[in-house]
Amino acid sequence: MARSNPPFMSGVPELLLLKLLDGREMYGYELVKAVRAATGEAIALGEGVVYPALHALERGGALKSRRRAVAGRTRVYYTLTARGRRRLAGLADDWQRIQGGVAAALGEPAHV
Amino acid sequence: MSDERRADLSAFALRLRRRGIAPPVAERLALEMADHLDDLVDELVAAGESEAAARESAFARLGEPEVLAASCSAYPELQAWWKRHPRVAMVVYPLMYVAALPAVPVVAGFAHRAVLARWTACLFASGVVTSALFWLLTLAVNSG
Repeated sequence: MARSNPPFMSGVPELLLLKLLDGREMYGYELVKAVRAATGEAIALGEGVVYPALHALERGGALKSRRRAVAGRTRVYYTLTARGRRRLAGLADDWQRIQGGVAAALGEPAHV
Repeated sequence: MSDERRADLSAFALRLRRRGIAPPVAERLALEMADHLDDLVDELVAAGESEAAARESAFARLGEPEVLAASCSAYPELQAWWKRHPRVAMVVYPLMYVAALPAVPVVAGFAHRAVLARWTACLFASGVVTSALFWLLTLAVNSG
């Protein structure tokens, strides 16, 4: 079960959404489930985070959307753009750097 | 689309717009959330819940509409331009209203054209009657 810790989550939804949309188009509901599955249930993004984040990324040119009628419902599918791919690469680099730094700090012996 | 669903969508879109979300974004967010809710209900029904229980659980999982609207409005990219630039809006909107002021009588006249036509016809008729009376009066004075 995912536990909530908002201060740690800054930038994470954006990174996860871009990563999941890299190479595959998906709609909101699919993405909410895919985030849970991809993170082994460690992270569960709420609908109040996923949809506005998708819209914000689209407005920033990182995603593009198209409507498709599926089983009587109009689904909005999102795909990554070239700008989105560059943003994903940048965010992934940032994340690796931060993760490496925090891991190094946690691994250090305590100062006396 | 049922009337109930349409009302729910409109209510949520209105809630978003009240928080300064741009109208097209608000409409689409409301539609996507509604579809999301339907997907959740379908999933829960497939897992064995009754339609009513599934809908209740789906609403609970989605959370309070006001909380959802608040989290949407936290993204500045989704805000309407007047919310992002309130100082510009404070100048532009009054100017727009002043510029539109001369058009108000025209628009109001067009909107109430039937009443306006009746009043014009009455005024014209009374003008004709008054002119005729004056003409008769002039005739009577001159012949007397």
